[in-house]
Amino acid sequence: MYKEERINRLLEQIKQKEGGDFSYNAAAIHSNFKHAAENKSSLTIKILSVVGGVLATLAFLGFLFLTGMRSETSLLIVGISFLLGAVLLTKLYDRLIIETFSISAYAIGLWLISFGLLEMHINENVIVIFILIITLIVLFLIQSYMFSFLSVIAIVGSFFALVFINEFAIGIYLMVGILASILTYFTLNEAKIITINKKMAKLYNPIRIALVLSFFISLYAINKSFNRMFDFEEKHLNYYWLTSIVIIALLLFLISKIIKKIEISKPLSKAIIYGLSILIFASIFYVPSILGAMLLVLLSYYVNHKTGLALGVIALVYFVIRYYYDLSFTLLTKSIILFVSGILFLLLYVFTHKKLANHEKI
Amino acid sequence: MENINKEDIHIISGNSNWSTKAVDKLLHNQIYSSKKDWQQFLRLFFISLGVSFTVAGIVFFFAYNWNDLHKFVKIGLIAGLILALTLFVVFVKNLGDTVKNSILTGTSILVGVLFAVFGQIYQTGANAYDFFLGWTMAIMLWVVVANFSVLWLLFLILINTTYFFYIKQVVGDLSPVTYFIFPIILNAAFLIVSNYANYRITEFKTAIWLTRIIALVLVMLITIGFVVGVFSKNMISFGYLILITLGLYALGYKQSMQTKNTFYIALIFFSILIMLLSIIIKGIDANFFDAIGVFLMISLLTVIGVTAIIKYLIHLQNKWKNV
Repeated sequence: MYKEERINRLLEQIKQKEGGDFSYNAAAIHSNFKHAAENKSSLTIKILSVVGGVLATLAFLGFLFLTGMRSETSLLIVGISFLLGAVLLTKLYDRLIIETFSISAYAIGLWLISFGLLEMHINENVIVIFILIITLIVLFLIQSYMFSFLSVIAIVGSFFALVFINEFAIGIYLMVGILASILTYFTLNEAKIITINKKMAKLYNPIRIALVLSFFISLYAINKSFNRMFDFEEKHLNYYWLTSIVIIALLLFLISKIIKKIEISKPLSKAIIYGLSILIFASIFYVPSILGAMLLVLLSYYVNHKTGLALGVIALVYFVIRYYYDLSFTLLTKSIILFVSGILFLLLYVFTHKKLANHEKI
Repeated sequence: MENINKEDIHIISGNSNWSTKAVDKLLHNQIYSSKKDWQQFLRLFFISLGVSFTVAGIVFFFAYNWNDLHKFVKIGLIAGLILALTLFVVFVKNLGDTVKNSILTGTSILVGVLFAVFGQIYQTGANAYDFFLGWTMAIMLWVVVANFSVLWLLFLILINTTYFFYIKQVVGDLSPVTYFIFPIILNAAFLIVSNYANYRITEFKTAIWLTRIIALVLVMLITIGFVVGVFSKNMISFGYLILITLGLYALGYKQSMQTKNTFYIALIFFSILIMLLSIIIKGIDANFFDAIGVFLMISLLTVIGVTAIIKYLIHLQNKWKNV
């Protein structure tokens, strides 16, 4: 709710702490708060608008398909007009109510342009890069939540598409590793990013949730059974360790920050925690998706991001259950791995239990 | 610093020259998880992962050796485990309700495993319906007494599954719409009773996530049942369905208004939108409209419909915030 005095009080308090240098654009701040209060959307509303947008897009594409509009030029023209229309509409009239319509138009526009270019028999790589550039430009032009969210998903998707089109299997594992690194950097450097400029402050939230969601989905892609569907060479599928190493490095970095947060100072304690953690990661080394899920859980909890946390927990449960069906190891191997890592977790629990409960300096 | 939230920080830092260091410090102090949060979380994290991984490891080990085990060992193992866990829950002091209930949930799952193993060893030829019915009956007492949300969820899943197999294997031929009416009534009854108990009896608190899942499933059943009904020929059961739906949706709407929660309303209206769309599609069948026009109409109506729903939800949100 928009409360003018509260905002002014906050600004005063910040000014006191920052000193004389602190300057702000009062008008912009108040109008932003007003706009946010009027367009507040719960998760229900966001999901509803995405689902509505998807249905509308599909129905519309069905309509176009039935009308037999296949000529490349008409596809391109209609696509571009939808795209421009969506961008203009949002620029002029950035309200929650218009969102369903504009994101449908945006999605339809992108699809039509892709189809048009495909019909022209242009190289698929070029098409993907073209879409990539368009979505980057849209990201730069419009900072509306849904648009930015979809644009980032499209951007990450384009990179993955390039990997799959060119059958560069190792690329998948590299990509997931890169995505994990970007997500970690982005999440842990919130202050740095939102103080860059006005655009980045507005873009931060949608970009983060888009990265979380893409990461969540990509964890599925490093699954061997998924990739077998794509005729990759078998030996290339063994490069999952690339992802594992990257994620373990990120996890260790995150652990160092957590240790600082819970104020553990004795070197021996730190060493034991790192040691046990490394042992656990080593035992789950073969299942990067579980490692990724753990990273998501810890990262989201660090910045108190509830949606990310929920997704991380779901991913963790899902990939552990899925692990049961992984045919590359016998049940015996899997049982030993699980048992060992389970015991290690219990050791961590026992070790930290007393210390964590007593608030002692350890 | 007064209570500041994430949105405040984002807006102010974007429109001022607030220093990165100050923003970072504020985020860490007020928004991010504190030391105490981490202590609680890590304890939970370590013990749940530790217990589940270790148990899973043991289970996998037995799965590996399963074929070589003697049948008495198989049944004895599971039955013994059920017995041990239940006695543990009953007799060990200072365990905490959540822990006890979680173990009980695990035991309830083991009951199902026991029946499955029994059926596998003795090849009783029992069909899935008997299995699920037996499982449901066996744990019913525990579910009611423990009154634990996860256990209720398991129980509801079992009841619905039992019904599904009952229709499939015992009754066989049922008009499609009638097929939906019973689970709708069943799940609706659960929802209504739990909501009633939640708000009238103070000692009885139902988990919100559970009621939301039940509501979601219920609305899905109603919507799918309705769509099936639109395309079927049996008008009598369809009529019953419509009556029940009207009643339930009216109740849901009233409940939403009373508790000032947009969830039910969003579900209800979205469901009605889909129902309308299905009627329009039926229009192709009846040669009322032609196919091409219908797709376009659906596309436009979806956008308009969803936009209207969202507008209404925002209106409600703002109305309730200002009260």
